[in-house]
Amino acid sequence: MSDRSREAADRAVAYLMEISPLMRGCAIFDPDGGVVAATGDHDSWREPGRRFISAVDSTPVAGGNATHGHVATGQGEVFVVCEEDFHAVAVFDRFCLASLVFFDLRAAIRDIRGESGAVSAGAPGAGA
Amino acid sequence: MPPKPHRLVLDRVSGYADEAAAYLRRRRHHRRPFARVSGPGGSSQGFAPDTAEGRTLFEAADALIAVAPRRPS
Repeated sequence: MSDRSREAADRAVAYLMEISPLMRGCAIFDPDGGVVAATGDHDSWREPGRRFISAVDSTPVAGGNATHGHVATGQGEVFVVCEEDFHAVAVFDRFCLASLVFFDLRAAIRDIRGESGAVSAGAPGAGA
Repeated sequence: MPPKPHRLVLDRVSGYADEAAAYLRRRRHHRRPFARVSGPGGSSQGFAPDTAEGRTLFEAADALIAVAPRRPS
């Protein structure tokens, strides 16, 4: 991923933190499982993020390709979305609005993908 | 025929009591831990904490929550 794309990814993560007061942190993963952008230390997100994505994808309903997942515990809520083979993982305080979280995470991935120029001309939503 | 004055007060108090009960029910429901995964085609499934998939999901979620501390208020 180019420097420009990484800057776009960092901006997307910063924007998510700005518009989501209940968000504690998030990370964006590329199709290879690498951390493209994250709040705080990227290394600290890598293994826990991969583990969560793998746990979600391995459920029977996902069949290896979950579209999104949501786990709420007493300590917080964790969201993951998959959009165009990228994954966004986010940790929130309890009682956030899940539908809005999913929307924001997908929008962040699309912004990053659009900036990286990886969206093909024939893909749905291209140019939107 | 206009309602008797005490009926208005009773109806209002009953309404408040119903709202409070609904609020408490929602809070009890929202405090329960849950996990839900959606797959291709719009299908989704919930996983209880005492199932194998649920344990895997909750343990992975706990590890992620540990990575992201609460924001200072």
